[in-house]
Amino acid sequence: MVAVAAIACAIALDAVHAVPEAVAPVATAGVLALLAAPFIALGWIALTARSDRGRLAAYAIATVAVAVAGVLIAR
Amino acid sequence: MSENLLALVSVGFVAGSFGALLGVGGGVILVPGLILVAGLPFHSAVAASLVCVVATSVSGSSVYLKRGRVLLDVAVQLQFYTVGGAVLAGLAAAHIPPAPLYMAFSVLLLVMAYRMMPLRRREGSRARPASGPGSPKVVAASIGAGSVAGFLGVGGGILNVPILHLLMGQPFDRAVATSVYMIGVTGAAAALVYFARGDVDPAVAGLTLLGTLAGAGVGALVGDRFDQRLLKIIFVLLLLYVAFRMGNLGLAAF
Repeated sequence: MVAVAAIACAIALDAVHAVPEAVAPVATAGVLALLAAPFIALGWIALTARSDRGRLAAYAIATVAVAVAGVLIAR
Repeated sequence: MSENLLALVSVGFVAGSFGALLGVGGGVILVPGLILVAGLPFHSAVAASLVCVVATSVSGSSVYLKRGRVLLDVAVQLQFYTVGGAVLAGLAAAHIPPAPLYMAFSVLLLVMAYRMMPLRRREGSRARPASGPGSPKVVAASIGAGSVAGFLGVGGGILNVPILHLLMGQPFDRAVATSVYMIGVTGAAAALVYFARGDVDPAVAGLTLLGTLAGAGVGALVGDRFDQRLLKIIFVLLLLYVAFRMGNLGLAAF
């Protein structure tokens, strides 16, 4: 929650030009960090599963692959 | 410009407050709010909403994950299908004119209003044979939930919870916890598609997110002081009004 709030503040400060130009990419980096977080959690869950680790890891990899494919097609 | 900043934060605040007070996803308020109040185009509003949906999911599911409430094996499997639906819908949304999307959102709001009616009994104990995560019904419904997220910028919880609870026979509280976690991955996949296409404006998303988090915090603090039934009635009236406005926009755009 604190991390999410910090990212939101950083993006919002950037939005109102309250941060120097040099740190402007913080907004884009913040959004990307936020969007990457659920996939990092997904990987962690699959890798630390007590049972069926291989099957869950396969699902997690396939899920990430679908998301990456979507980004590549959208670009 | 400052009026627009205020509008973005205010819309986020209202969505976050209702989300915390009633346990509903913020997307149903965020998308129409960003369109009707802040004047954003449909795709930009959806993109900003998806970023907020991911943020609320990340903060909410961290609590549920710690408490062991999330059905991890089920979530990991279903996410593959919801992400597939979200990515396909996110890609297709760019080629669909706004009019049918406005109409679809209006219908979604009416369904949501119907489900939130405080006079109805919904969560009955209908005994149904439980389906597994690989059953065709569950797979199709999960792809549908992902598509709703990708097209309309809502988390998909409106479909995730019935899938987990009614189709798969999971306890309601665990279905909610699992759905909160799942909408983060689904929303992030759809948001990344919008981001890659240049539809995510970090400034808009950031300000809306700030308002959403503030609203969620205030909602959580004062939640116990409000009559839930009265809140639901207010929320249903708000949904009906927004459905009417979105329907009008859709008709005007045809």
